[in-house]
Amino acid sequence: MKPGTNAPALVLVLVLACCTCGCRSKVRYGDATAVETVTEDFGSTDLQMIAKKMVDSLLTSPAIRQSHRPVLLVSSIKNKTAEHIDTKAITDKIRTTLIQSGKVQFTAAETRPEIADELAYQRDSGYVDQATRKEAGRQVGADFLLTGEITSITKERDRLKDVYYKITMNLVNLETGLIDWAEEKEIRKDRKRPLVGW
Amino acid sequence: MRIKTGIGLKAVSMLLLALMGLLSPACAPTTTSNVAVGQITDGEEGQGLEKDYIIKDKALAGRIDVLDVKARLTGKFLEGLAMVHNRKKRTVDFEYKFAWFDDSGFPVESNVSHWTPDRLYGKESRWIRALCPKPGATGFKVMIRAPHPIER
Repeated sequence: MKPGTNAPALVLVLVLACCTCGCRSKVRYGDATAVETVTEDFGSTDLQMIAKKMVDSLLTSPAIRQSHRPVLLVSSIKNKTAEHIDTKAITDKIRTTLIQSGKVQFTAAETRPEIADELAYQRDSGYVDQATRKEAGRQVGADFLLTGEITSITKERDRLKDVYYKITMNLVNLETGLIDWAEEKEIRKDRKRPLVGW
Repeated sequence: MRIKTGIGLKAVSMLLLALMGLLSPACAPTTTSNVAVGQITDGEEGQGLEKDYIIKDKALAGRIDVLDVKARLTGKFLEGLAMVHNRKKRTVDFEYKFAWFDDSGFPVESNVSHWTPDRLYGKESRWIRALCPKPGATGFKVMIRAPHPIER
C-alpha cells in the first residue's frame, strides 16, 4: 500500500470531526437579569419592568403607606393581547416582592380549597391532636383587591413590526369599592427584518 | 491563471477579515460602563451624598454622563435617582441597573433589580430612578452599560 492511499479517508474523518464539533450545541447558564430581545413577543424583560414599576409605585402610594400592613388579595390580570402571556407570573413576582418588603400581607386565595380540606381533616379525621387543631373562621379578610389588565397594539408593514403593550393595575378598596391606587406601564418594541434572512 | 486565482482568494480572504473586524465591535460583549454610588450621609432626608464614578467602558462613557445622584427615604424604602445626559446629538441606547447596600456595605438583594433597557435622544438629560423594595438599604449603586441583550 502506497503512503497517502488513505488520504481521502483521513480528509473525510477530519471533515466529519469538524462538522461534529461545529454542530455540537452548547448549554450555558445566563444572567436572569439581562435584557432579552430574542423576539418581539412578551418576554422576561417586559415582565421584570412591569413588576418593578408596579412595586415601586405601590410601595410609595398613600394607600399603602398610610395603612398598617394592609391585607391584599390578588386577582388575575386579564390578558387582552393576541398572544399567550402567563399573567400569573407577573402577579407572582409583584406579590413576592411586596411580601418581602414587609409592608403588606396577602391572603392565599388560590389555596382556599386546600386550606378548607386541611381544616376539615384536622377537625374530623381523628388523627390530629385537638389541642393543636386550627379553628375555622379565623382567616383574615382582605382590605384591598389588586387587579389589572394587559393590552397590546401590533402593527406590521414591510420589514417593520411594532408592538406596544400597556398594563394597567388597580388597587380596589374592598370596603368602599373605590380605586385607591392605579398605575400603568407602557412598553414599545420594534423589529426590523434584515433584507436577507429572517 | 493560477496566480490570478491566488490573488483573488487572498483578496476575498482579506475582505472577509476586514468585514469581521468591522462587525466584531458590534457583537462583542460590553462591560459595565459608568458606576455611580449614592449614600445617605445627612440623616433620613438623604440630602448629602457621597458620589463616585467609575468608568470602565470608554465608548459609552464618552457619550453618557451621570450628572447627579440623589437618594431619599420614602417610608422605610430607599429611592435612588441618577441624572443621565447624552453628550452627543445622536440617540444612544443603554441599559442600567440599581444595586442596593446597607450600612455595613452588604448587598440588599431585590428580586426586581435587573438590567433595564433605555434610550436617550440627542442632548437629552433625564432622571432614571428605582426603589429598593426592602427596608434597610442606605446606599445604592447605579450601573450603566451599552446594550448587551440576549438575542438570536
